[in-house]
Amino acid sequence: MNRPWTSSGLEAEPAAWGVELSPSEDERVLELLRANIARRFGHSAAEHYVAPPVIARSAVERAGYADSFPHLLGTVHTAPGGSVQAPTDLVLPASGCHHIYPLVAGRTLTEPLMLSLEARCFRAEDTEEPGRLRSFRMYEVVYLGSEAEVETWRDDVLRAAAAWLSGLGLSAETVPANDPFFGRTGRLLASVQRTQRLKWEITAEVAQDTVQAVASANVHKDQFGKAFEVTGPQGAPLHSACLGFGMDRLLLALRHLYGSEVMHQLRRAEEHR
Amino acid sequence: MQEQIRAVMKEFSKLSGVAGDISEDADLWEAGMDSITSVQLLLRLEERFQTELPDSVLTRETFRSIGSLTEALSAQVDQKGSRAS
Repeated sequence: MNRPWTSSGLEAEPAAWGVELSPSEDERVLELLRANIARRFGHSAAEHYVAPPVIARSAVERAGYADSFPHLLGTVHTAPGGSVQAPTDLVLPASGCHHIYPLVAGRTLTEPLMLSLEARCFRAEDTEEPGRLRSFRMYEVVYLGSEAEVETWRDDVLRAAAAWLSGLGLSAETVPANDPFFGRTGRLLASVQRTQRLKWEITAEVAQDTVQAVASANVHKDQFGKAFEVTGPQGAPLHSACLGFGMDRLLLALRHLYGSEVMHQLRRAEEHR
Repeated sequence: MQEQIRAVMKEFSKLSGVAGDISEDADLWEAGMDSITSVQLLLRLEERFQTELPDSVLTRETFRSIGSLTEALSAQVDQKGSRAS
């Protein structure tokens, strides 16, 4: 990726594809984006978390991810005491919201609950293209409530997110998700979710002729409520939804659009909101 | 093959209650199948029948019923058999 705005002028290629360093100028843009997302979408969250780059394997297994997408899951191996390298109780989170559900596991919630977090995620993607990172940051807002509350929330934030991104100058097209997860199982999941209209993406051009999702808004129905035994006042598993922004993709799309003028354009867009 | 598919379905909590009795044309999505279960069922069926379904049938429709699953798996298993013979 060409970064003429880096102060050092260094253009080192990453040692591994899809694993990129962020120069300080990019971090400044991300800080501004974070603040905007928090103000617009996370202001009602009961808490905001910054997640570590690892997660308990048990949480990922309970979420059903380890069984469904074993080919995308990154694992952590160590060799305690100099023994042979072996898997540990930790894996690399594939999705930020997997950190959230263990926090409410086994609880009964009498009111809808919103939590937000930013997480460093990993997916063992097998397609190398601009924006297809293996290590990436997700800002997620997770909402738990009744089926009707969750669907209304998802519809509202999807509209609001598309309007915000469009206001930043991005093409911001809202489409049913077509590649929520890569691989064969991802194709099946995409087919099912398209039919059920569970997962929507907001896309933007991240490089010449390369359009990718920069945000998504998904309804999980009661999948995680059941898996983590989170119930509502009547005892039924709660439904959940999340709004996620791919921070690195968003940055890439804005850089593609504005180059070194991103900060200026973001500030201008916020002034005109 | 249908009995083997039913046996695999019994391993999944969302389908175990209906796997034995549901008719081959009945809608599995209405009977409790969800997106994650369909993915896990795909992997288990492929393991059980030592085959890999082509991308073209990785759809919600293929997982609609025991009949549609049988059709998709049979096509693959038959094709594999004819290639081997």
